[in-house]
Parts: sequence; C-alpha cells; structure tokens
Amino acid sequence: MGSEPDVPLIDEAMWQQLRASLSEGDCDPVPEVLREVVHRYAPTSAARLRDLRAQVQAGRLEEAAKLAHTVKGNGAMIGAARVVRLASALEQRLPRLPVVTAEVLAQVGELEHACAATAAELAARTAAPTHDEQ
Amino acid sequence: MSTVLVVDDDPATLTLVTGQLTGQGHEVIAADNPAQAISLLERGREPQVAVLDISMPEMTGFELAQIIRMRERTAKLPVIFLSSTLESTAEFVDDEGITAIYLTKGTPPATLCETVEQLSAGAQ
Repeated sequence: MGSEPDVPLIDEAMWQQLRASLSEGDCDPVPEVLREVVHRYAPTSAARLRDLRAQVQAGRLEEAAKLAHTVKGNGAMIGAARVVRLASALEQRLPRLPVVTAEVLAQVGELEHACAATAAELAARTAAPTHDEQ
Repeated sequence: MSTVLVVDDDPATLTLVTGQLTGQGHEVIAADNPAQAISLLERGREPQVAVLDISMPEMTGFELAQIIRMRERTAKLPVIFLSSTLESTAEFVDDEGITAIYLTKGTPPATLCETVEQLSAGAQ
C-alpha cells in the first residue's frame, strides 16, 4: 500500500464547480461561503482522524471503518480526491483485518498526511486571490 | 423556489449545501443533527424537500425520514439522501408514490440543485 502520487490532492473540476456554485457573481474569485466551508473542514476532519487512529489502536476496526467512511464522504463533498481514495481503501480494508498491523497504521498515517496537506492546500486557495484568479 | 430541510452532522458539508441552495434562491432550514431538525419541524417549519445525510451518530438519515413521514404535514416530503456508499445516483418511489433519491457525496453541485428543483416542482 504505497502513497498515491497519481491522485491529486484536489479534484480541479470539482473545485471549479464548487466555486461556481457558491459564487455570488461579484469580483471575488473565492466566494465567502467557500472560505467558510474550508475553515470548517480542517478541524472536523482532523478530529475524525484522531478518533479513527484511536479506534484502530484499540482494535475497534468496525468503528474505525465507519469513521473512514465519514472522512471519505466529507472529503468527496469538497473534491479532496486523495483523501477520498485513501479513506476508501481504509474503509474497505479495516473490517477484514484480523489484527492491527504496522502496515495499516502506516496507511492511517498516510491518510492523516493527505488530510493535512488538503487542508493546507484549501487554506492557501481561499486565503487571497492570486494574479491568475483576478 | 422552495424551502429545503438540510440535515448533516458535518459542519463543512452543511455549510456547503446550504450555500449552494440559498445561492439558487431556496430557503434553507439547516440542522446539524436529527433532533434539531425534528424540533424545527415541530415549530412549524414546512419544507418542500429534505436533503439528509445518511450516516449520522445519533440517528441515521433513514430513521429521520421515517419520523418526518409520520407527521401529517410532511408525510409525503420527497427526500434526497446524501450517501458515500453508492457509486452512482439512484431514485426510488415507494408504494405511496413518495420519492427518495440517493445522491453520491461528491456529485457535482449543479446536480444537487437540479434534483432539489425537480422534486420541489413535483411537490407543489
């Protein structure tokens, strides 16, 4: 289970659709609602991943799989393509594991890393307009 | 334009869906948990469509839909379930002609808005 370099952090087509769907038609390239969505995504996903790791470490793999499912769905709503891929893989794998292995903990770590990178990327995109966007 | 009940325990998703629907001119009744949604309905709010997350901690979207449909005023409320389980959109009509549509989380925003409009037009 390696990293997912072929999957972008953000699905660009989805991101553009989100921007368009929330645009109020003014000059701001990043709608205020989208800033709010991004602002709310980061802490919520981080908290869910903390819970997920705790459940895995406690061997409660069905519960951990449910959390992976939630992380997948919430990521999908904002076009977090890599998070969706990694969370989906964990969701499918966790209930089938007889025991927690170092490999699956590494997989959780990979999802945590992708989630943090996605939150950082989204924060950068919504922080201020770039010249390209103006 | 119609009034839409939106229930999702994820704050980002709730904000996102609310923003998309209000941007299209709909009035949104937003709740971050099923109990709050029921309370809002009991206070007289009357949606024409509901958008419900399926996977919520205290009560699933399916259970919430059953409660909503036990109330006389919302017995035939069409429901859109947001799911990250299905790979594609599915539509079901039950024996009483009540529509439930399953939209995959990550469906293009325009599809959600179009589905709300389609259902609210049918409900009026």
